Amino acid sequence: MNPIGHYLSLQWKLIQRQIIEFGIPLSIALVGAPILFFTLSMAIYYRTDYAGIILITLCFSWQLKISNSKRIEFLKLHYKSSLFLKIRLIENLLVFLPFFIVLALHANWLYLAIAFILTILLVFHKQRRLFHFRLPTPFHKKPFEFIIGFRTFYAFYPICIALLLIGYRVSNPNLAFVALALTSLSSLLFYQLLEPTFWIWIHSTNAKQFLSNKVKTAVFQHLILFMPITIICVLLFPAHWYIGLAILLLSAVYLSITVIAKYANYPNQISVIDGIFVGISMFIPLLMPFSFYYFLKKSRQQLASLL
Amino acid sequence: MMIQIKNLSKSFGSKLVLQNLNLSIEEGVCIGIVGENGAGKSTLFHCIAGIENYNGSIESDVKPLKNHLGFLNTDPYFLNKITGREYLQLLCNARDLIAPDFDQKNFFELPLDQYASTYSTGMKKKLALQGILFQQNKAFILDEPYNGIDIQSSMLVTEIIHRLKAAKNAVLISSHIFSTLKETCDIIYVLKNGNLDECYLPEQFDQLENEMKNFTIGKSLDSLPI
Repeated sequence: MNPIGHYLSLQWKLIQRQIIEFGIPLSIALVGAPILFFTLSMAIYYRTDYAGIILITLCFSWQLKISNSKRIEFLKLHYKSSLFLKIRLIENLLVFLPFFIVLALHANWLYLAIAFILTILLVFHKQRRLFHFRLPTPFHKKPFEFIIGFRTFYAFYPICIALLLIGYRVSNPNLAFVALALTSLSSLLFYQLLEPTFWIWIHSTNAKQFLSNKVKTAVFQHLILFMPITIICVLLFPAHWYIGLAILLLSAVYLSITVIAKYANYPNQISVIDGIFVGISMFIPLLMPFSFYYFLKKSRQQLASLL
Repeated sequence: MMIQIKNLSKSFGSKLVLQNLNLSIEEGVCIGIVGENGAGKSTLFHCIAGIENYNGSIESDVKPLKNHLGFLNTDPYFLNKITGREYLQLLCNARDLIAPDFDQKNFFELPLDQYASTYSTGMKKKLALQGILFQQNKAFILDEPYNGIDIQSSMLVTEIIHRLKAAKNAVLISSHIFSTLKETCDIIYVLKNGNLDECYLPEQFDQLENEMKNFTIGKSLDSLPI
């Protein structure tokens, strides 16, 4: 097999293993993923006027993720320059492909051209490892989820603030509150990262105290991070102050459930069934107390042997 | 502080790694564990720390043991985007301790404001060791503490182990560099076939080293294709 073919087949094997580890049968994932992608894309087009921008952002974020410095370093080390560039181009084009289909179907030629140019440019982009750059955060006293999360998603916040200000400029409170909701809900993503066993074992608390401390820290840091943007939103749309407050508080409740649910299947990621249950209980707030109790019990059981 | 291990057994599936193992770890004493790769040293350490389930009993005069135990992993893992300073803070928070001035107590002179995941292997080891020393533990498990660190820091680690002993801490250490065990240990056990049947006192360390050399080199080089 030629080196590129071998590399790509190895990547495909890796993806298959990740899907199986995630608990989804491979056949279902292979059929379901494209259907889900195109359904969600249609929903984005149906619900917003900014579908093109959202799709380009998603495509570029995905390409950036596979262009991280360690991966690039590995490829450069093992493949000669011409092969390296070909691999990078093929990888980026493979990510671009589904977005290309959706954008072409909607005749979004401008966005399609932008996405294509970004795809090519990223092949030649040299990402430097920022050894000495450290983004300061106000969370240094209580590491670690908000520190890592903020440093991962910091570029996302100016975009949301820009959307909020556009909402104000065009007198569209809905756009502003969507931007606020996106910002506030980003903290849920901070808790998708599972820490190593050792990072839990070091705590001198029992499982109940550990979870309680985690939730308290999460909610406190959530309020610190998102209070300012909520205040800006409320000041810009004083008539809708209660929506801003509701978004901030509801996202804090969602965050608490996410924190508790994170350890329900520890040391593995949350199972698909439990993940769906978290999602459903967020849509049906009446289920919240039940899901909270359910995940608390499950997480305490999982952590008991470590703490 | 004293740790008493009685009839400790551990298996992974059908593979028995530790078999009715007995060991007593006393305060102010440094015990060395040697064994080939895969002999079960790290498994034994994980069992003592309570990270792995096991059969048998591990008792100590401070309870729970894990809250007074500093555990240095063979290969300390650091999540991305966490600085050395934040990692040390996390370790202090975990034990509900007031964090000291990390800059003043930065005895390995680490770049604490740099992301720990970008540290070299040796620097990661030093950061992990620095962290467990800040936790005011009473017993220490040091799994390959000399792995990847420079000569100057090796000397510092040896001195740290001597000071831990002097402060009446119990220390359990594994190392593939025999000279470091000779410098630090009061007794060395050989982990073989899941057990610690063979033990050596300081006056017998040279004998152990020679035995290991003869056994390993003789066995391995017979199959060398040169």
